[in-house]
Amino acid sequence: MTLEERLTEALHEADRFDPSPDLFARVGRSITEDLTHRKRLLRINLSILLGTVLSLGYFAVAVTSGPRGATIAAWEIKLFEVAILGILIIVLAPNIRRFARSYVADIFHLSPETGDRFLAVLDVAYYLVFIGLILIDSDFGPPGAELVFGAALADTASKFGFFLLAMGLLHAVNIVAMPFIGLIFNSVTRLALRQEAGNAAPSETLRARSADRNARAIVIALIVVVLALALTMLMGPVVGGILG
Amino acid sequence: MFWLAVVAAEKSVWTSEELERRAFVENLYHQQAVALVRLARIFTDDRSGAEDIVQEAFIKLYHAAGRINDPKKSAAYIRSIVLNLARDQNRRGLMSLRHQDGLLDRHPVEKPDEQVVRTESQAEVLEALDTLSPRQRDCLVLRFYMDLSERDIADTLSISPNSVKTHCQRGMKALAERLEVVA
Repeated sequence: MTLEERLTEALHEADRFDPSPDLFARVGRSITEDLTHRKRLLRINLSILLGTVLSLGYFAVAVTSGPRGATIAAWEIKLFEVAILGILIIVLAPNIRRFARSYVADIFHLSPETGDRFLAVLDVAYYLVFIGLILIDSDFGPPGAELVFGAALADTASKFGFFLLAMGLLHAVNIVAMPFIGLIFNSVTRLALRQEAGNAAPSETLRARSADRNARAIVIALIVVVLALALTMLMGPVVGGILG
Repeated sequence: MFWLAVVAAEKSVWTSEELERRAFVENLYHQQAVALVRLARIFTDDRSGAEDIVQEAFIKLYHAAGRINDPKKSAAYIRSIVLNLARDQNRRGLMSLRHQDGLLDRHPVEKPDEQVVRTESQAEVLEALDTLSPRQRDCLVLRFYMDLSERDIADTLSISPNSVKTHCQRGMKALAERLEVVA
């Protein structure tokens, strides 16, 4: 056999392989998903560009030149802050929800409907907390107050940073706390289901027993911490008075 | 027509340009998919890897459809995408063909020592092919597996026909030397 023939024969082993019957459908779906993703990215980029242009246009109109240099009315910069923070809340909420959905479904696997309701309650809490944060700092300043533009912009950027930091920290706490909440909830749900089934309940697995033990330990630890804090708050002034 | 039904079912609204591109991709799929999956299979570890490459290639083809001026070159274009994707993914390469189950499935029943000799011979050739440079390997695979002409190989790899000739000659020489060493 010549080298060419050997090479041809070896390569033609690939003839054993045919595409899966569903490959064509997968190609179609991939193209659709890719297009949807690209359109979404384009919308995001256009929104950012539009937002930047509108912001620059707003400042071009609002900023005036005076003896102190470039200045802006206090209410104008505050209005800009409130608008941007409001937009941030509205834009971030559905994205956070989208990523959180599968995480929550995994934690509340014994009752996915509870997971959905938990997310809905979290949404309400999210809006209350962040709208509250915006309103707390909603002082538009005395009428006619003018601020130096550079300093006002730096102050605004700090507020945005604080806001995003608060959002990030609260979500981090949520992410860390949720598995513990899920553990306790699933343990209680399993107990309720077993009581409902009575003698017909299947025997518990080692894993379920271990999860129930961990849930009880967490609840006991939480009770101890709360009692210790309460005791400290009650007894603290008394002990301080005695020692003082 | 298939895609029009899928689109209607998904309640999506596609522009006429998007529909034209989909029709173009569908047409090319029916002509080339089997050959492309087999070509990708030569460079990947398994069927799913080969199909992933072909899937990705058709997505890229879809987006580049507007830039392809000559429809006759679309087969060469998608072949080049498949080869580039296979190379980029840095698979184990041609060695994989000899490790698959059922290597002897399509061969008629033979004496056991003849089956072993054929499999070992194939394995030696594929191992030797794996030692070549990517360009030489691509040229030889397109020449001896897909039976493409030098012109078609040149279009696929975006090189001149003379370069194809040179790569094939050098590749075969290196193969011969390698197989003599093994022997």
